[in-house]
Order: sequence, then structure tokens, then C-alpha cells
Amino acid sequence: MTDRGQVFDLGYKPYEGERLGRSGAVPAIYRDGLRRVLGFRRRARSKIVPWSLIALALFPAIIFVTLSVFLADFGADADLEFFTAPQYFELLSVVTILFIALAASELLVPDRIYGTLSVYASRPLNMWDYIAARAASLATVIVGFLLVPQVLLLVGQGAVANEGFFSYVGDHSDDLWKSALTALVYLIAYAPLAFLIASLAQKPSFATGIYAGVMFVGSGATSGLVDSGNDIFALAALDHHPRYLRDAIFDSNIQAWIPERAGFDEWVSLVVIVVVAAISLLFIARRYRVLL
Amino acid sequence: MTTSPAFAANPTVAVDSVSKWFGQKVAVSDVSCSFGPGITGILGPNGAGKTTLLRMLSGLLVPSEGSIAIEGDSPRADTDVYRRFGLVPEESAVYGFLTARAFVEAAAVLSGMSDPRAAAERAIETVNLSASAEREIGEFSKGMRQRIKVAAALVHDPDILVLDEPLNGTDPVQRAQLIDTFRRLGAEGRTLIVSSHVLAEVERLADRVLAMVDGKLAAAGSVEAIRAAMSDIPFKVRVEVDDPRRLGAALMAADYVRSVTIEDGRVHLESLDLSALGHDLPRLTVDLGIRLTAVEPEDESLESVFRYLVRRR
Amino acid sequence: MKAFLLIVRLTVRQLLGGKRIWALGALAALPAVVMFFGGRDRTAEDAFEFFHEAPLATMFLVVLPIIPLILGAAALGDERRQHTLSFIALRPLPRWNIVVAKLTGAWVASFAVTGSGSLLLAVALGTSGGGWGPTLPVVLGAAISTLAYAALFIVLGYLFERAVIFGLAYIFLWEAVFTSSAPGLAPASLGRIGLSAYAALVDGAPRLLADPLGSLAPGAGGAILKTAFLAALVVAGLSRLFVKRDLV
Repeated sequence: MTDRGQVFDLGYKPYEGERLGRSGAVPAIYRDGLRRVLGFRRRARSKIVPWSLIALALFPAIIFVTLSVFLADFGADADLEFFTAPQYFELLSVVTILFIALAASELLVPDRIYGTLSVYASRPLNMWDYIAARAASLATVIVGFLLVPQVLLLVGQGAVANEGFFSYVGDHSDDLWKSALTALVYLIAYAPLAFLIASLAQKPSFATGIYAGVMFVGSGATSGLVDSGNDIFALAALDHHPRYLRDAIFDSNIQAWIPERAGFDEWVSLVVIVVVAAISLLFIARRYRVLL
Repeated sequence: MTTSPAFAANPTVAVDSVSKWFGQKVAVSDVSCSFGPGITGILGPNGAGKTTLLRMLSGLLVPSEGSIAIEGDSPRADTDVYRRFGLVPEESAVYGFLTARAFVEAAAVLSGMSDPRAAAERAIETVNLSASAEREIGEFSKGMRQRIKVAAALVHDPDILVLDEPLNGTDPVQRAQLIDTFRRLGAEGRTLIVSSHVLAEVERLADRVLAMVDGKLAAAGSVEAIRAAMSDIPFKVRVEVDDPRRLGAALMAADYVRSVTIEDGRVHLESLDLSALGHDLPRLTVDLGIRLTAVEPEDESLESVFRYLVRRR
Repeated sequence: MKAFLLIVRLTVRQLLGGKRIWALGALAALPAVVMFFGGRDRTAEDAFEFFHEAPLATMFLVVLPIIPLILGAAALGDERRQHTLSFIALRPLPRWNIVVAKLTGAWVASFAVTGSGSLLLAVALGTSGGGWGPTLPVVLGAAISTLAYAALFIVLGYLFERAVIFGLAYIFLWEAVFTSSAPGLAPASLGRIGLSAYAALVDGAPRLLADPLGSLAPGAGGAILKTAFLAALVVAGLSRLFVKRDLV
């Protein structure tokens, strides 16, 4: 048996570049989250569902703007009354829930079921880094989903407005910050619970279905309870609190929301939203402390 | 009657001009071969189309072109074929919530066995998992899952067994036991088709080898015969003599010798004509008055053959 | 028969194993909670009327679609994507036999949840003084709707990885928005099939359910036939897919 040894140069080159550590890892997970939800750098099939939902959200705005431009070309009065900003938010309420359900489950469930969580655990990351990065991805896609149609509507209407684009946008600039604030309220109201369910579910489809079930069945159930005089159950109308607050922000009155019918003021809805978000985040942290 | 080594003498499984594509990607391209009693190994690098071919044999995939027959019947058209057919898939296709015994018994029930319990016991014993039979498969190691999959495939005593990477995750002892089991089944006259990356084990296991590269059949036959058929690649031979330099110098003059190297007191040469070398070498050593102690091929292993085949693409 | 029953048992175990049965059960129990709290301190007639508002509507139009969606889509879809389909498909069993067994398993698993929920709902009505007459009809209606949805969603789950999203869009856009807005489209709603069976068997129900039923006439026999036809169509279609298309 020979006691000689030899190492062969196979052309391996060690990494000579900068090692970014946590400051590089966290943005990388954030960007991966965006790609995962929106299907970027993935097969065409993975883009169908998210972009169909996004198309559904944009469709009414595109139709209206196209109609306005068409009418303006024919010299007709293009100052059509279409959906107001709060009405547009309301129009998208079902699609918004579906999109959030999809996004939350895509962000958290695959890492657990495919074992990539252990890959993250072996990197310079802690639990909060991972959760924060994934939450940032979720926040970005949700706020984008909610705001882009509003901006499109505003810009489109401005483009055909009789008084001119800048004048119109200036007159309606309030809608922009109110839409942004509403998007933030929706984010805090909907996202944490979706995240909590996704952190517990073993399959993305189950997380999506349960979240949608909690929202829609919960709405139906609490409505019936409040209408029969059990007002306290209005606090459990998770789907209605953000919409109640939205109407307060825009000073509109789309419909009588469950907390409103129960006699609660808007600040109560705000408290419920914050408390649910805090409890959800607490449980998510507990869950991932074990996993990571 | 064809004499190509891609076709078995008494075929039980026939593959006729089979191709499979997924969108723009061609996974298997115009493969024709057959399998008969004994063990046939299917080799190839990753992405060669081995698993796709095995899935088509099993009826899990529909060939885009061509046909497959198992004892004369199409597995897609006639599910009765599965009375005589077993598959050990590459994936972990098990129900984690079932115990090992329940899983194998379920396979026996689904295959229509009259005494599923007894059949399951026999199959579990064959793979040496009797001691763990009451444990849930979800708790099993990779090697144990592999063995329970083999048990489930054997439970109904199939004549034809397709095994996709059956030795994955098994330790050396388990591997040796499984190889013994497969060899026994092959010796009983059953048709075993084994796909593997573990070339050393396939070399021990298979009587016959089909090599696939880029979706096509690249070679067929025994390892030695495939190597011999590669006449454009020089054979590497190691010769042990008591005076390597003199022999090396003499061999350099031969027109059938491509190169000669002396290393560690041995002569390593490359030759395009093994038969001429075999004829001349004894005469040369006698003429030179040197003692010849060993002549061994250096690249007749399956690994060498495999490397040559892959390199040719 | 043994193989058929084994596949049904395996399917039910796969779908209801673990903690998910509790989450699904909690959802299915919500209408009963509404009835329990909302039906208190009411006269028998009031309780009966209240039953036909939020609780029954929530059960048939929200709970009944969601549970079979989650479970039905997983029945074949998960098998296919987790590669366990080969375990049951590579057997000397006719394809339709396997499909019927999977559909039966999905239906049994879903109905275990929805049937319990609807029974609880009926019990809540009975204990509030609204009467026990609707008990069997509500369970029957739930069974019919559950089968109809399970049949639809088992196909969706087999074909699409994100079947649940498509199913939710079907439930909350097509059924909740379009077929609710246009009474003429009510016959196209699977949830209303079960509701129409219920309405045909309970005195006074057709009047109270006129809005959700739309143009759909109450009829248990018709509901059963429609559902059986849908199930048969699904079995035929899936069996054909098993033969003609790749199984993995």
C-alpha cells in the first residue's frame, strides 16, 4: 500500500468575493419571497394563478380608463363617475383575500415541507431575520396589489380629465395617501393571520383554504350572531374591521359593517386588528423558534 | 429474428421505437429493446432518460411514440398486467402514517392476493424488516423505506420487477442482502430491470446492461462485449514483467500500440487491437527472455465503459 | 371489493389525519354556534325563520363548498404530486374502480366534517325550540352538496397544483357573486343543489329560501339525480384521463 498522497488541481476556485453575512442574507430571502409569490424565474405555470388574480384586480381600472379614453376621442364627456377609491377597494375584497391566502402559503409552507428551512438555519440568520424577510415580501406584494390599481385609476382618470392631468391629480391627491393608509390597514389586518395559518399548515393548499374559510365563514357567522343581538361577536368579524376603518379613512359609507351594526366605533376595530396581529406574530415567533 | 444485444432471447417486456417528450424536451428518443428472464441493468448519467423509460414500462407515462408490451399486453390498456408486474419507484412513494406491515398488506390486498397477511409476512421477511414491521413508515430511515418499497413490490410474487435506484440510501449490509435477493429472483427466471447509478453494484447484479445517454440507447450487452464494441477507443492494458523497459521499448515498435507508459515497474499500454496484442505478447516476452507474470485490462470495468459512453456525446 | 374499501379507507385516513380535522371541524361548527347563540330567547317560529337566514346560508353556501374543496382537491392531487398514485394505480384494478374509490373516500372524509356540522346545526335549532323536522333534510342536503363539490374539486385537484385557489375563485366569485346576482343562474350553483333538496323536504323552507334558491325549484329527487350525474361524469372523465394521460 502506498504512503504517498497527491491532490489534483481540478480547477476549483474558492470564492474570493465579499461575504455579506446577515446584511446580504436577509435581502436575498426578501427577493426570493417576491419571486416565489409572483412566479418570477420560475416556469410559466407558476405565474398563472398570481397574475390572474392581479389581472382581476387591474381589470376594472383598465376597462374604465380605456372607456374614458375612447369616449374622449369621440368628444364625449369623459368625466364619467366610476368607482371611487373606497368602492374599488371593496370591489377587490374577495380577490384580495384570495391573493393574501396564496401569497402567505407560498412564502412559508414550501420551506418547511421541502426541508430548506434547515438550509437557512445553517446561514448567518436568526429566526427574526427569516420572519422579517418573509413578512417584508408579503407586505410588498399585498401593498402593491392594493395600490397599483388605485394609482392606475387615478392616473388614467387624470389623463382624460377635462381640467388637465396635474389639476385632476392635485384635486384628488388625498385619495393617494388615503389609499396608502388603507393598504397599510389591510396589511396589518389580513397578513399576520394568514402568516400564522401558513406557519402551521403542512400544505400550501390547506393553508389557503383554511385562511379563506376563517375569513368568509367567520363573516357569515358573525353577521348572523350580531343580527340576532349578540353584539360581542362583532369583534370576531376579522374581515369587516379593516373595511370599517377604510370607510372611516375615506369618510365613505359603502355598507353597514358588522362592527358598526354592533355599535362599535372605529377605534375598537383598530384595537382588534392590532391585537390579532400581535397575537399572530407571537405564535409565529414561538413556532419558528422551534423550527429554526 | 434479431441478434442485437439490445433484444433479449425470450422477451417478456418489449419496447418498440418508444419516444417521450415533455413540451420541447425530448426525454427518450426512439428506443427499441426488450427484456427477458434475468437481470438487466439500465445505466446512464443524470437526465439520460432511464426513469422516464422505466415509468413508461410501468404504464405511469404514455409514450409519445411507439409501444410497450408486457408479456404481449399494453400496461395502459390492460390493468391485469399488474398481477405479474411490480415496481419499486425512485421516489419515496409511501404512506408515512401506515405501519410497514399495513403498507405491505395494503399492496397485497390491492394486488388481489387471497391471503394478504401471509403474503405480507413473507415479503417483509425477505427484506429483513420483521422486527420493525409495526413501526410507522414515517419513522423509517431512507434505507428502511427503500426496503419496504421492495417488499411491497414483491408481495404479489411478480414475474416482472422494475426497480428504479433500488439501492438508494441502503447501507452496505442491506445492499448486499438486497442484491442477493435480486440475484435469486433473477435466477428463478423472473425478469428484473434495474436502474442504478451505483455502477459497482450493477456490475455485480446485472447479466446484461443497457446504457442510455441523452435519451437514446447508447450500448447494450455484457460489459465486456460493450467494451469490445468500442473499437475507436484504445484499450488500456496493464502488463507485469520482470523487465518492463525492454518490453516497453519492443511494444513501441508495434503498429497496434498507441502508447506505452512505465509506472511502478509495470507496463501500461493503449492498443487498438487486443487480439493482435494477445497474439504477439507471449512471443515477444519469449524472444526478449523476460518473464511475463500478468496481463490485465484496465478499462473493462463498467465505470470505464460508462465514462467512454458519456464522453462520446 | 376489498381493494375498493382499502382505497376508501386510505383516502379518508390521508385526508383527515393529523390536526387538520380539528381546524375543519371548527369551521363546520360555526353555523351551529350562530344558531345556538342567535336562536336563544326566540319563539319557535322566530327560531325556525332565523335558522333559514345566516346559519343555513353560511352552512350551504360557504362551509359546504370549502370543506370538500380542501379535501377533494387533495384526494387525487396530493397522491399524484407526492408520487403515491403509483401505489394504487399499478394494480390489477379497473381505472373507474380506483376513481370511484377515491371519490367515495373524498366524499366520506368531507361529509364526516360537513355532516357533523349540519347535524350540530340541526341540534342547535332543535334545542332552541325551532323543531327537529329539518334534522334529516339538512344532513341529506349537506350530503348531496358535499358529493357535488367533492366530484368537481377532485378533478380540479388532479389537474392543477393550485386547485384550491381556482376552487375558491369558483365559490366566491362565480357562486357567491354571479349566480347570486342573477337568479336565473342559480341552477348552475352546486351549493344550491343541496339547498333545493333540503327545501323540498321541509315545510315552509321554500318560502324562506326563495332568495338563495333563485329560479331553482325545490326537489330532492332532482338534486340527487343531478349530483349522481355529475359524479358519473367525473368518474368517466377521470378514468379516461387515467388511461390517456400520464399518471405522474
